[in-house]
Amino acid sequence: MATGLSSRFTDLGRVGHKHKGFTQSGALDTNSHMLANAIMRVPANNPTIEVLLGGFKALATQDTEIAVTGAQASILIDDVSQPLNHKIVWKKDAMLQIMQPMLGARNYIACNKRFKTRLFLDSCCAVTREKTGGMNFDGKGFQVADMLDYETGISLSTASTNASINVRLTQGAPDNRLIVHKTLTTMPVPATNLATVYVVRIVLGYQQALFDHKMHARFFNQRFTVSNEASNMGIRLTGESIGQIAVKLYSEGIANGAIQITPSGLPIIMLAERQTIGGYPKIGSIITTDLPKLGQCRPGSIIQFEECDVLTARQEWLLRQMRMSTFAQNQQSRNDNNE
Amino acid sequence: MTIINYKDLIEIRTASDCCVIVYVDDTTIGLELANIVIEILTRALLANRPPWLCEYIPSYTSLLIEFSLYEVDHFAVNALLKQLINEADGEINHCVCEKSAVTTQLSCDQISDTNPNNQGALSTAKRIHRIPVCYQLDSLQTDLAKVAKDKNISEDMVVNLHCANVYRVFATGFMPGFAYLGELPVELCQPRLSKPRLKVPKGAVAIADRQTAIYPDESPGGWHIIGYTPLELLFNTTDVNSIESGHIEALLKPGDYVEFYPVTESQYINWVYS
Repeated sequence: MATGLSSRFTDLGRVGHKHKGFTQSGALDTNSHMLANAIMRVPANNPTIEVLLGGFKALATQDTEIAVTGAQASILIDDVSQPLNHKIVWKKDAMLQIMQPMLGARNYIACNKRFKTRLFLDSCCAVTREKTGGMNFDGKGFQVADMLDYETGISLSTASTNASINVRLTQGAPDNRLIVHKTLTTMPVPATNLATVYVVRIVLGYQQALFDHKMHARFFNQRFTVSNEASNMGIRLTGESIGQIAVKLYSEGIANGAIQITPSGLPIIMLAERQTIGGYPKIGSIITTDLPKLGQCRPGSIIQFEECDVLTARQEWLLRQMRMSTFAQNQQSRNDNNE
Repeated sequence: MTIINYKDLIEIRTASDCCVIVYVDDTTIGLELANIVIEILTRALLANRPPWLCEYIPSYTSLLIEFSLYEVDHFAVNALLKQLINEADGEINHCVCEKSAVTTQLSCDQISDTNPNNQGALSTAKRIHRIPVCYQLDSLQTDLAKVAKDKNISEDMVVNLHCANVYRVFATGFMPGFAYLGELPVELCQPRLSKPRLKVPKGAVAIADRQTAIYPDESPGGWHIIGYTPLELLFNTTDVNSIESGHIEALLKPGDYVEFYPVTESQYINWVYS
């Protein structure tokens, strides 16, 4: 696993192809992805652009409207700062920039029209490891000077996508202040909560019975740190070893958010682009509702695990879905009244 | 003879808030039987595919099931799985008792040459794939000589041993189209490379521990390469329409059987370029 800076199309990933060995893929922060589409009043699975750690610059070749969600980053259109989680107007020939985030890791850009993408297994996602999907079916994200088209024929071009962190920091330093905007609606925006310490809930499962109470205690009573090995495949954590269990397992199916314990006694959280099967022992899995938080973790972020039961996990997820769809409906009617 | 109640070897555990995993204990019945039980359960699950079923991943001794949180909760999924296990009990016992008979029946069943011209016409009935392997290919890297030396047998013996067995597909994964085949004769068993290769060429036939496999595409890998197959292990990957509708099929599916046979370098080359 490696952290690379990238921007690329994403959606909710592939469904029903894991038994053939194809990974799930899809947005890591599904909540921000869906929020961006809800603000633009387009279906939740419409492609968005996932930008990792800022450094995204693009020029519009036509007037368009977009919404940016996710990490707390400065969003500039021709050097005028724009609000996060709102519909913003992006005029022809104007330069959109998403700067290095203050908090969080990934931004999602949705448009009022559907981006023209190529679907692999009914998803627009590129998977580098498999060399599948993406604009050229080669598993790669955007390259500098790519043209991104709308299905209607309007196009915008990415001027620069792959600036390194260092270059970006010097470029963007003066604009790195946090912009707080007044919310236009009384309804709370169901955005992903950003933090430096993420409390994530897990349900115990898989080989959890093989971990003794001391290991459980070490697992739940410490704060782990996200290492540099953090990607859409998974996140390797550092901290105090919880201990080893001597067991040789056959490879088995890996659930989204499953927490593997490596021979060194440290957790790896398996995410959207994980391999379908693997043989490390697992203590449990992060609940679906808390998975978007992992999409906003970056090297140095702190993670604290908390136990949760399956019924609470399901209720939490249903509530979150309801909150999101209510927001989307509200957005719909509010926009209708304004126009 | 001890009578084993196979139902007692099956256990359902939580995997995540939307996944359960079914395990079959292989300690008394062995890996192959355990894997056959997994195959039976998978087939039973798909025979009346529940509307809440999102994903299923069968592997060596387990079956991971992902369900839609909208449709059901753990209780409903567990209840259905228990019912499936009860209903499949007869078939499992039958299969297990007849295991030796099943294997004989399979070998005289529909053995078909898996030839590139009729790859698309693969039917579910064909359960044994005969796969051509070129063991002497000078143009690509191989560990054949090293394996022979380490195991203190001739290269021909390595090839004979590799071709003598009928292997079962225990699991697919690692990369699309990659099938874990077992079990390799103990005479060929050896640990993985201490330092994995960054690039294993497409079509490489490799061995490690008591397993053998074919790399469907270029990939990093730590297994010992002993030959190359000219066969494509994934279909329709270049046909845009098939990809978009999701019709990509892997040649080797869990529960299939595989036999290897040697071909010469010129046969291999003809096959690759035909």
